[in-house]
Amino acid sequence: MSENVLTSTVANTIPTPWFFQSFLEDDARAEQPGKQSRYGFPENIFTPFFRLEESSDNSSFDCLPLTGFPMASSSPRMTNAATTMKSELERLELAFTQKELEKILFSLFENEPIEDGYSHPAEQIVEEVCKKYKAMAGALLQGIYLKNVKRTAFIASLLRCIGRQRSEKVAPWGGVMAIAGLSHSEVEVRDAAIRALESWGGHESLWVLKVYAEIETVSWLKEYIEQVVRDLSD
Amino acid sequence: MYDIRLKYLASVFVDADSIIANAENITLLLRTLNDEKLLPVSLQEPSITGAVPRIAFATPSGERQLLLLGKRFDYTRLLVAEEMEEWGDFSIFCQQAGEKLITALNFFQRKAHRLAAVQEGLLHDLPKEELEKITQRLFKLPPVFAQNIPFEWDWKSAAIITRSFGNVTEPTNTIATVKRWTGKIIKKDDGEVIQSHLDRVRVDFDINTVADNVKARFEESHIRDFFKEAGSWHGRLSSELFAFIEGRDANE
Repeated sequence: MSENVLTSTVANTIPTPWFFQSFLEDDARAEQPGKQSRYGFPENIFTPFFRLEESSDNSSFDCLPLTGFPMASSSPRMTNAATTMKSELERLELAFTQKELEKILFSLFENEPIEDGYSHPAEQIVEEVCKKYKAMAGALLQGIYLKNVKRTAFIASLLRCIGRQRSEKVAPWGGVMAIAGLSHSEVEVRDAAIRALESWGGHESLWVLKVYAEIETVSWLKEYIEQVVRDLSD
Repeated sequence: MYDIRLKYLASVFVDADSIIANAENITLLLRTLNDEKLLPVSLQEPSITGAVPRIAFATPSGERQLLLLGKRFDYTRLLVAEEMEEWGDFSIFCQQAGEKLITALNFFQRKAHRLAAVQEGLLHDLPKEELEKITQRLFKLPPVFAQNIPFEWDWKSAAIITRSFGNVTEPTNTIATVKRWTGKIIKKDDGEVIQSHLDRVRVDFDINTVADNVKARFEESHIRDFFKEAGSWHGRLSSELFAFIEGRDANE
């Protein structure tokens, strides 16, 4: 990277005042998440297949992921922007973390299935991830969930692990993942999502379960949801 | 003509700051959207007062996204993989996007005050001589650059064009942005980082109603018709601009 490029990327890290928006009011993308350098929002929230790095400072885009948004790091990635050194390092670190984390979780679930009444080593990993990455933990774990959405047993185990965390540690993304799980075509994943909501309890879990009790088509699962609804209502 | 499409985007601008990303809203909207490929995902929108949780839906690959932000709802199609499903015509995207956005607006009983349809993409890989010809077609350069043809430039034109859709007539920003992009493509393949050189022309088109009028005025029929017409507005604009860039007659 040449010196002038480095200068420009550093310049992009300086927050630019909000009034700059008015210069680009004609451009409908001006207020879109994406003009990171000017508006504090990233361009792309997912991680497309290639990143395009401009070698000058004339780009107004950046691609730091929105906080808490899933990053499918192992799926290909594309952004169309010059990036700040900081955001680049953060993204790369997170991308590799996600890949490593995914490998670890796979191996743990393969070696030892999750059983009722017994703690699982993956729970501790998830807890550590929440502690270390805070808001980004949701992005990491949702990214892993989305990437593996067709690997039923794996994502069901992941949901059960997340469900065993304290609700405030995984809020708000844990609940969103559970809702996604409830819409899954495989009963194993729906069951894991219900267990997570049951474990967290509270008004929101109860509300979601009531909705899904009405639409669940598998009779034993429907009965289970109804039982959980009754328990949580007490 | 595009070689690589980067993004299709349809947006409605709306006062949605007060929408809460709670389980009720996410669950009911998910059901109302009735799109089995769109999954709820959590999203934090930066704001002056800190990150605000927002409602978002995306396909597992992130190829399609519906983001309900504080001031706008965006429906996007993004390039996320080298091998993706057929992008399809922009006009078809716009019509699908219009329906998704209308569903979200109706769900939250909101009216939009601004509408936008955007597409972005890269032209074919062109030889250096052809890239220089494009530069000369688009710019009247001062001597220093006329003698040393720039390897990178930005060209943007924005005009107000009055357009009718539904039963309304609105001034619209009609914008074309052309850039010569020099840089690197960085791919990550199983942890291995692969870099390749890129020197292409990027062309973006953006047609949107003006920002000045913030009255929440667009009814469902206006939005549907805007996105129905957007495809043909873009079609005319893009064929004219591509012909201009390539130095040929638009009717050829």
